[in-house]
Amino acid sequence: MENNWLKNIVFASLIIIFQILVFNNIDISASIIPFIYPVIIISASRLSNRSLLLMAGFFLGLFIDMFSNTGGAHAMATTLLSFCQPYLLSSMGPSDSNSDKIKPSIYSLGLSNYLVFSLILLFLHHFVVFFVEIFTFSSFGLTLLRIALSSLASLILILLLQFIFVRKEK
Amino acid sequence: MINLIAILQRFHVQLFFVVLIVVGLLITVYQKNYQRVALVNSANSISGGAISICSNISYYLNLKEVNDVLAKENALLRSQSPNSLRKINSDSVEINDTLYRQKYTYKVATIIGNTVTRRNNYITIDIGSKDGVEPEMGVISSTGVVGVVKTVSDNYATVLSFLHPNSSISCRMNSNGVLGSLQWTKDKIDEAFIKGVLVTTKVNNGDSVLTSGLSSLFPEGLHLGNIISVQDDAETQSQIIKVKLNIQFNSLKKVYIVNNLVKNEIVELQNKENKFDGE
Repeated sequence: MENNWLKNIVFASLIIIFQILVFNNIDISASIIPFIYPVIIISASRLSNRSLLLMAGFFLGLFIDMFSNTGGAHAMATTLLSFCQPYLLSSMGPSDSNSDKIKPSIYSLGLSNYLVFSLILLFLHHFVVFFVEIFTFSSFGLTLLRIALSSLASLILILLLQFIFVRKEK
Repeated sequence: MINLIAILQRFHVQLFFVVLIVVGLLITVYQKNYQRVALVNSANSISGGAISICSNISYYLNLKEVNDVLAKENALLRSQSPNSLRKINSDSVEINDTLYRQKYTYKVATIIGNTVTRRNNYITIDIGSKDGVEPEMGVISSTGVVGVVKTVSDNYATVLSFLHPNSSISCRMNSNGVLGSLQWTKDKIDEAFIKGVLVTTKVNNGDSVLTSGLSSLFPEGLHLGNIISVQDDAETQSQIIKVKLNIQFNSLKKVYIVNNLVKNEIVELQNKENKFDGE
């Protein structure tokens, strides 16, 4: 169990470092910004304490905010993400007591389920980040397009991460 | 009372969620409205330090381009020095020191954080209040205007980039001296527009756009870019003038902080006038 904690923390720090130093500086064509750090909250298991998850989400977002001058946009988005994650997770995948410990990944949920699951959460997250950043609903369509494209970019990167880091559990 | 506690226990996760969202919203609004708040931004020492490590690495990799830009600037400055001017009339070149007083001084800063793809872009630089940087100082590079200093900590400062909807530069057209206010178009990082010039004013396509020197932030006559298209806006009886910017924001590395030595005097004077109007 302790080993697991250590592993999670190392995984989270790596993701955060990657986000801040690499993906925050990437510009794919016009204004598509991939955010991979939501994967930390997305892959919380069903047994997690919900208040603790909210708290973690808030401070994770705030930390990202500190590096990207976005006020509290990421903090709000990630709090919303960690609020919705357990609801969505309980409506997905097998629901026997054994599966409660498993962290959501492409192997535990199945590829198509995982795609839908993380795309919904990523879209929610990106929606809040982009709209809080511009703080207006004018040019709604254009921002929506940015959100959709950025969500897709994030999803692809997160899938790649899954293939690299998560091992199939026997 | 017992009911209240029961409700709190039952919905504590939802309540906690609402509280956190409200805190996030407050931070966002606070930062948007109060410029000097350095609570959650890249001017504080933790994030500033981390960003500067990363930036040092990329700076080393970009040394060649930085050198090129500096060499070009040197050449330009050399061509402007009195030594490289031809004397037409021996009297007119003589510079009398008592006639001129230093108005602007410049500080060199290195950019350690820079976004160009967002709607609201900011730049982080590696000098702060210890080096005499203050909020509301202008920031320029050898190729144009970069922005205005927004927040300052001891060793770092954030700059409101020109690529931000709230940025505007007072400018003037070179050939006819028409004044205007230059703003970012919000979609391309090298295009800006001038609004509010009446249709009756003649604007030359291809004309160069300079800083006007009307605001006390930037020195006069800094070349910003060239006009690429002029469109009439029938609704407001004005023209929308598109300008191609000289400056390339995505490869910016060295910038100069402009310190206007007589700024306080000007601001004081203008405040007095405003007071007079108010009475």
